[in-house]
Amino acid sequence: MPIFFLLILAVALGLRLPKLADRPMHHDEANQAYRFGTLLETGTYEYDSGDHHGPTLYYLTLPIAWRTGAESFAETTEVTYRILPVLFGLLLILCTPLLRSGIGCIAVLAAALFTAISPAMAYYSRFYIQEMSLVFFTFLTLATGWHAWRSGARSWAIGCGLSAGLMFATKETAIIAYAAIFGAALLCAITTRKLPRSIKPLLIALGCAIVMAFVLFSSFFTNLGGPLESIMAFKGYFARGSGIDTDHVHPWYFYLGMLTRTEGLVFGMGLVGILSILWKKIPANCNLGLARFLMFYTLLLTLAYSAIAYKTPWCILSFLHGWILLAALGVAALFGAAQRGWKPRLLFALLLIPAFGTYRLAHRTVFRFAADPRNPYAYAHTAPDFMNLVRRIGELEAVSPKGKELYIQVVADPKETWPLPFYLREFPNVGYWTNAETAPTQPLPDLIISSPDLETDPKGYLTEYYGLRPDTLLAIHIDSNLWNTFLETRK
Amino acid sequence: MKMNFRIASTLALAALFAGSALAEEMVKLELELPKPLFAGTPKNVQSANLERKVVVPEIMVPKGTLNIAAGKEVTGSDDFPVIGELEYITDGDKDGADGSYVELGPMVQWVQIDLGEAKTLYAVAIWHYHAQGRAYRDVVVQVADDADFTENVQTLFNNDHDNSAGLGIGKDKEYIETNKGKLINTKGAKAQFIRLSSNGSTGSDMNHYIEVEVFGK
Repeated sequence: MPIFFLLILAVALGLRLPKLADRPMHHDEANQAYRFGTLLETGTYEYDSGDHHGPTLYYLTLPIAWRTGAESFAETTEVTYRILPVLFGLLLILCTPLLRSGIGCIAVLAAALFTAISPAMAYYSRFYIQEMSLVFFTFLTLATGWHAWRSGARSWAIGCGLSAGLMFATKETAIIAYAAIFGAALLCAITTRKLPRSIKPLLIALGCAIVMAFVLFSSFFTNLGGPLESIMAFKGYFARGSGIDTDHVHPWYFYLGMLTRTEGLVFGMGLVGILSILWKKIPANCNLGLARFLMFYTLLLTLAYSAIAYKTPWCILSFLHGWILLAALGVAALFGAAQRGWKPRLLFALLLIPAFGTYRLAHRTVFRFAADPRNPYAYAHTAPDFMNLVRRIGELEAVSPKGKELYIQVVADPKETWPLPFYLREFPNVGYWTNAETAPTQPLPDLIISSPDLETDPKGYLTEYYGLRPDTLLAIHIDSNLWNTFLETRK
Repeated sequence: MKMNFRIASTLALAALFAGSALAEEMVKLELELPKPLFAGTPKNVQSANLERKVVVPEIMVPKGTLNIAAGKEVTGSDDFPVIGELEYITDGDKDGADGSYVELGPMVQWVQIDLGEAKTLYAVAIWHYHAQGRAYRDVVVQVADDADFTENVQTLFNNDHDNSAGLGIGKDKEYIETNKGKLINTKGAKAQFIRLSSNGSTGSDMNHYIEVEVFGK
């Protein structure tokens, strides 16, 4: 088992770690990186409910920046940020054995393998957003909760509570997982007609969760209004969830399409897992109560996310991990049914074929098609052509006597501004305006980057277009003198 | 003596003021620049053929001017297009959907139309791809009397402002593709062959053509 586990870890690492800086920063990644930059430079963070999630992502990036010696936003790189989800992606696999007493060795190995090769898990393990850490803290809550339930030990209850607090301090969608956990526990109690022996561990966990969330949302007791704001923010989230004031309304089968197309192995084996639980055909070393809980939890979570009008592809991770655990139970059930002799070997060989296919798909998802609109996980992604704009700015900076002191005006809607602030982080003289009328006309900027709709068509500038996202372009207007200096270097 | 002292004092003070004015400390003008505004995840746009601002120039041509490229033979730098066929370029289908465009490989690629004999050209209209907002790079339109482009080569349009295509620096502007195409005034140039080059686009490294129309007599 350890050798298999190490092999799985190596595969996971191979899909997560290489070429971390190759994919252009997504709008959301750059946004988060910019907020982290403020924390790094000023040492302060204040929770802001407007389009921002909890503080864990920013606080957890600090040790990485310190370790790499970065003291300002300008000194950070893509790797400074993306290494954090890589670590959570690996931790999620490393912590799978926490469920060994509940699902058995084979299911632990299968869950680790499916997590490692899942295209969505691999892709978002390289994406600087909250999702991977949320999935990890959710799993930790489930695993420690399972141990607390089984043993009644206070230490597990504390671990469960702290993890649940971290879930909420990571992303507000944690409440959907809380609801699914509560619903699954209720359904388990109804079907087995069993109630918890004592609610003391539950109260301990609840207390720890509240303390943890309070500490983080209050920025370590420096912003006491933060925790209340995190609760008040749900007014906006509920409106968005029902499809009001959002661009991300998708049909109920949006996630189901992803589950069947790119996560087919996990979904298929997950259905086998459900059948084996319903028919009580899971192996003897698997706990039927836990298996039943995981089934209810996953189905409730899938239903909840499908019912919510607001959908973005990274939200799939929350319930995809549930499907991975069910799929692992399905594999364990098949091996349990295969008995001894040649059948388990044949089964192993048969499972390896779709597993290899899923690995290849994950490989293409994270490398070749990382920013391609055909990749279902590359949602509203920055176009590869955007990096040509970054390169052009670098070429102009290299020939200008001002160097990085170039005066750059960005005139664009905020939705068309990002990830520019990340890529212009080393330029101190960059200003951002949302319309051309408010941008000052003096002194004349060296470069103007604008949405084509807001194009000022300035005289004395040369214009080039670059792709920001599919169907969204940015225009760069280059001062003619600077352009001519650049052309001289090309001769 | 008293008078001399006064004059000397006044001069000394004046010199002091003048000196201090000359030596006024200069500091770098620091601009106060607005910070970027935060915004949530942008819309995942996948829609086809969004309407965009476009200005189609008015070109006056002699009565009876026709599209003399219709159905004419097309050759290209990429003999094996990734998608579609070169004959799509002169088949009269200007639709933006799949099945109407030909996709040539990456880097600088060209397509060439043989008009059969030397003609007087008044305008050229080009549709590269209009299912998505994109700008094609290094768009160069040239005409010549021979297929190898060695005799009487004239450049009618060139927006390759940094000579990355190697056909010379052009002064024409880049433009965003729309269903209205790009109309170029060829001002009565005379030639038998027309060659159109491009070097990828803001959308990808590949080169696309839906239709080319050449108006002349």
